[in-house]
Amino acid sequence: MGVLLNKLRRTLWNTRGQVMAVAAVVAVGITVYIAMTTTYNNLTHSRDDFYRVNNFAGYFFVVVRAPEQVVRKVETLSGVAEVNGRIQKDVPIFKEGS
Amino acid sequence: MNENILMKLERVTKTYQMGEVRVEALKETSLDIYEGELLVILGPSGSGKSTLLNIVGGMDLPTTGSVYYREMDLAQAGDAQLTRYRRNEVGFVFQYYNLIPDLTARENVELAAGLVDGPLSTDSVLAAVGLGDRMGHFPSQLSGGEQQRVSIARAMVKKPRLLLCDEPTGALDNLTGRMILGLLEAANREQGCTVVIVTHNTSISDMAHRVVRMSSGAAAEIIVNSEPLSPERIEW
Repeated sequence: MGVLLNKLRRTLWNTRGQVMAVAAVVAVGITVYIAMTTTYNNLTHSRDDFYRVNNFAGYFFVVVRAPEQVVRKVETLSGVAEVNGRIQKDVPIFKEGS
Repeated sequence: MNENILMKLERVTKTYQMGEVRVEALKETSLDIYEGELLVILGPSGSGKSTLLNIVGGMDLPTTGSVYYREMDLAQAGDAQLTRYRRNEVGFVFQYYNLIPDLTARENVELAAGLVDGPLSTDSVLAAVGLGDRMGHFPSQLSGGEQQRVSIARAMVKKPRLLLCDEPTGALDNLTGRMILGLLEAANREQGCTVVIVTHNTSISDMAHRVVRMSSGAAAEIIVNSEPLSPERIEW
């Protein structure tokens, strides 16, 4: 085994340029992977925190002329924690002096 | 040389399929190899001599036929049996030496010695091939003849019963080639090692006990040489 270890040591030394290039590529790859994974996790946590703090809904649906019972029906669906219904309408506003 | 059969090849064929083309490298070749003989397999390129050597050395399997080494049929042997056979019974000498470039001459031989139980001393084998003062050199620091001597030392350190040489002088000049043949002849004469030399150089056949002439994948002729010459007396 000593002879094979000698071979390994000399091969690594004789090809040190390639070994260092490969090591650099692997190191950069690992660095980018860790950076991207950390960024993704941070963004996910930030979004969840924002939704929780501001009571932001998970989903928004626009329906036209739906009666209020629809809200009750949606509340009964499994996995739905809370449903709020509201009327959305465009309203013209005139500033004073305009 | 005695008359005990070391290897017996019976109706050995080897066929390679290369796309649409079938190449018959060996055609129903039968041959006995006797213990302690120096056998030269002679033939032009493509005559099947290297294929025959690879089959005898357990590096390749025949398509059909039997290859007996004593009681064991190599054609039926499993991978582990073939590995043990190559490791314990056979030494190889190649045309282009096949030394490991990152190991010194001594380490190349030591690596082979480590594969078997009770090998010869690495230093004494290298000294026997005239490389006692070059053991620490890498293959790139050695001449072709010196590299071939290292490869003979690597083969002989295992004390093989069978020494197989594929064009051992093919890459060497006449003088160096003769020196290499002297070492192979000494291995045969002094250690009783059965030596098989594959070559296209007809002059080398003068030093053999027997010569097998290969032609188109078959042993066309087997000649018994009653008075083999010493390598120094060979002319080419």
